[in-house]
Amino acid sequence: MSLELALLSAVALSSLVFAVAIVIESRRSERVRHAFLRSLGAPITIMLHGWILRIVYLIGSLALAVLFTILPYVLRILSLSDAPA
Amino acid sequence: MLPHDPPLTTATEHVLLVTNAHWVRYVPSTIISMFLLLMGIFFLSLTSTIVLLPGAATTIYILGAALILLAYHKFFHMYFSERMRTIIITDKRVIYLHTRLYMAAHEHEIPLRRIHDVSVERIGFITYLLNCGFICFEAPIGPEESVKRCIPFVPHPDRVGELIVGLLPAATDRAIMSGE
Repeated sequence: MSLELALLSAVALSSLVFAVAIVIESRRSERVRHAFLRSLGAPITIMLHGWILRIVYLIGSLALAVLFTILPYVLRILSLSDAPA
Repeated sequence: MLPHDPPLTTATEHVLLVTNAHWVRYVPSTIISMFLLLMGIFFLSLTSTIVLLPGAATTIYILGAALILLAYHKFFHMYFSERMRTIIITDKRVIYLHTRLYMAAHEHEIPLRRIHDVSVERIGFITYLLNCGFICFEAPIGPEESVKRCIPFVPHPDRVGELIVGLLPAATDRAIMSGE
């Protein structure tokens, strides 16, 4: 059981790395798009909600990684405390 | 920027319209993500209720957690990809940018002088209700052959279509004048 849960922890933590990679790539794509629009002379609007959602995404990924790493142990402790003596 | 705004001038061409695709582009992936999320929550809730098969609880827990992670990352990957979908119309070409992060990056460029036909397509009640649709261009690739390309999720497709149709004679005249 502990091996499976360790695997799950690894998946949760690697998903956090994935989230960081997505945020970096999203920013890079946005910069490329802005450069293209600027070369055409088109207006560029910087959207604040894009940055807010990036931060929300990172915080949520961290929360999920922590949750799925800790939760099995909490559930196990709860089930042990519920078990009859 | 709307079509009736004054055009922005560069040395070579005028940008007439820059718009993101219609927000309806987020909907299909959001529905799939919500479905995966609900499945994950369902499996996680099963974990605490399984009494008869305690050995299965870990497997179901891992499945539920994996589904929730998948739903979460799928949603944000879709969001950060789809917000890059842009339609740009200049007096010389139509440009359509579409990116899927780490998977694909498309930049379609259709010169106005090559366009023979522009059509606006709406399929279904929802597209009428939300005022979005496809704009399709037909361009000849041979003496009797032509190719049709479409831009999906165009907001206010009638207005955008009219703008492009209005540019077609001018683009053709300019191409003739410059000998293209």
